[in-house]
Amino acid sequence: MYTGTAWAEDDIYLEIYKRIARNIKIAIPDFTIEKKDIDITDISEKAVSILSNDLRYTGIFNIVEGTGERDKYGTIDFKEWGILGAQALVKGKCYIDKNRLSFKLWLYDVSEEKYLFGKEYSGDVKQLRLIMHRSADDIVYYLTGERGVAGTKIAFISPSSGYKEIYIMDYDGYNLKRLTNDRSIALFPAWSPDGRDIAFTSYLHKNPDLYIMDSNGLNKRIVSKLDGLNVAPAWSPDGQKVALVLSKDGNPEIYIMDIDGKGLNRLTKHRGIDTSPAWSPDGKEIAFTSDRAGSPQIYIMDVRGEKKGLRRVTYRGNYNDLSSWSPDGKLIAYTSRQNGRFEICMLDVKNKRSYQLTNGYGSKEGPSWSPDGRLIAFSSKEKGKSNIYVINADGTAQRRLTFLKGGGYSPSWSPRLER
Amino acid sequence: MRGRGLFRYSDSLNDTKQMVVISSLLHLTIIGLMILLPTLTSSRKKIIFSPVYTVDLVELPFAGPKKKIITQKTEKKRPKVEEIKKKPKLKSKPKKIKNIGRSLKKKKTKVKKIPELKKGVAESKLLAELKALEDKWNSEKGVREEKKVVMESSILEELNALEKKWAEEEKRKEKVPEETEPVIAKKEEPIAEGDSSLIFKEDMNRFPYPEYLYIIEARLNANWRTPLLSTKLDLTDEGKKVIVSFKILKDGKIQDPLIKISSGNIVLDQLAIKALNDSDPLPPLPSRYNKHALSLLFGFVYSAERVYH
Repeated sequence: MYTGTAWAEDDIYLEIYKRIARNIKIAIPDFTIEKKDIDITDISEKAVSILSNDLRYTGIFNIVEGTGERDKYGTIDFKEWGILGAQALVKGKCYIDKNRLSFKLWLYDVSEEKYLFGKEYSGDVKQLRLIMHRSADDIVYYLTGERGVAGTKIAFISPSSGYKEIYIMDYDGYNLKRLTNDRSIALFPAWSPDGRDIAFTSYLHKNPDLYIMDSNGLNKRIVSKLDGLNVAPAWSPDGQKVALVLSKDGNPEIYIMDIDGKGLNRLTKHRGIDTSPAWSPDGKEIAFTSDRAGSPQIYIMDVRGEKKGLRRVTYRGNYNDLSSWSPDGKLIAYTSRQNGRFEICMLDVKNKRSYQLTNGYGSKEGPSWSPDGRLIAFSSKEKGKSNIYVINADGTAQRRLTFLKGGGYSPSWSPRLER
Repeated sequence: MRGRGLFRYSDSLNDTKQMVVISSLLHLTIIGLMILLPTLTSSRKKIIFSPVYTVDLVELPFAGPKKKIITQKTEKKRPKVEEIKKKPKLKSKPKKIKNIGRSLKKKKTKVKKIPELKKGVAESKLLAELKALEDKWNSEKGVREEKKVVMESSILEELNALEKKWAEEEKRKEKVPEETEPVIAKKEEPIAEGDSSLIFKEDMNRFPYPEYLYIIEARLNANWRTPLLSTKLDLTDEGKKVIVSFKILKDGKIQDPLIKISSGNIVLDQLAIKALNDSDPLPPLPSRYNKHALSLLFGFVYSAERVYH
């Protein structure tokens, strides 16, 4: 666009504008392959696509297409990348040595033609995805100051084997594994804040008891086996306590106990059903669902009990349940019945304003936040079968993760897993 | 008794056999325990993910030599900004600077002025031709470098052709100098909708080749890179502006690029200068233009896309 004004006798004034988008435009040309005796072009191409997807899924990167054809002669043609619109550039070299994959990655600032950081990653060939997730998280960390979530996992329930068992998968739906083999009914998986354990409910001994197991499926131990329900566990942010629902006195109420099953403390006392506890990230409050006002609505109470502070936060709709607190504590994602089917809604905790996040086909339930607060996993039921989906927290880019024949539901997003 | 017998020396064959069996059993159980115990005790600590090893890299295998050149360049540029700041010339023109600042805010009102600035219908045709030329230029980005020589010459050819047309047009204008403008004034739609480009009348009088300016603008725009960490640039809706002055010589070479007004951010200033350097040389000035150089003031305005929550 031109505008002009008289400046001096002979000067012509022109102006051009650049509106800088929030998303970073990053180019990832094909990696170069060292030691060409073994052909690993397919591995290298796969690596680029994993890395591209990881960055795209963050919702803050756009991938610039380009092959880097002209870069192969030793230097990077930053000018060309600049014309293509790239702001950052990832250059990679890969080689394989006896089943051992190595990737060297370098990140550049295209505009300033500056080298930013470089790292070499190596691991088993089978760990290709893990290696690329790791590098994606490093790039995200370098450019945003916060680690990505490409290394995280999602636990969920699937009836694929004929029994309801707990499965885990990478955050992008790959690397699916079954964790339990109880031949029973497992429910409500909940990842501990340190990523080492998963709490869940199982009918293994004919009663819905609460268990905790290591996140690799081993070392299962019983936490609570009181008569009636021992369900819907929610970890305290420090990982020392679990909020859960017990019906030992006939009516489902919310309790807190230590993870070894001791120190039981009752929080709610009401004729109505109180369920689905969710601990706030600061550990001071617990959101839960109660039908004390006639229909299931979400309430927030003090962690010391409802008598120390209780407020209702949802008023829209006649069925609101399954809340999940955003990592920064500002929002609560929850399930709400809208026009006969469930949708994921978002509640601003401070001003109690809520809006619908998901839309369209399928009945959507059980939101779970990614640890960076950018993504939300949930299940969507279509034609009688649920599957796990992920959506950006701003309501864009919904995509399906599970393609199991039995489907999947009740997702729980892991914290960042330190390795 | 039996236990003691284990350690008693005996030359009977049976006893030796027994000892060998028992000792091998003992060894096996000890080895077995050595293997099993750690896995049993550490199963809680064991994490299912096998490790990925990482090593920080320091070398710059790709940008090594090029980077040096750049740092030299930037070192040259930095003092220039300071020089300009010291120049009293700047202080003598504060009002005009403000005017430019306002011109950014009043973009829309200025678009309404287009009718006054419009030229002939023939010119709009020329514009279309030039746009096609630019599209061609943009669409062939990838292959362009290889074909650079060919492209440049074809651009030159087309520019020469355009210049001939401009010359004819000027002759026509000389015959009917006053009448053309009001006629064009009525046709404001195509430009306002299309390129949304406009050049002011005074500028037009001094340099009546808007098409050449469009090419300059397109070239600089293409070579104007987007800063990486825009979040750290503290950009507002109104934006930050760098004003650069330079001269285009007859043969298209860029001379004396200088930051007239800094944006306040060295990164943004340098990207403007870099856009000039990357665009050098520009296409030669129209041959009809009789001065030896064209001096330009060029504003690069950065603003941030608004984020909605």
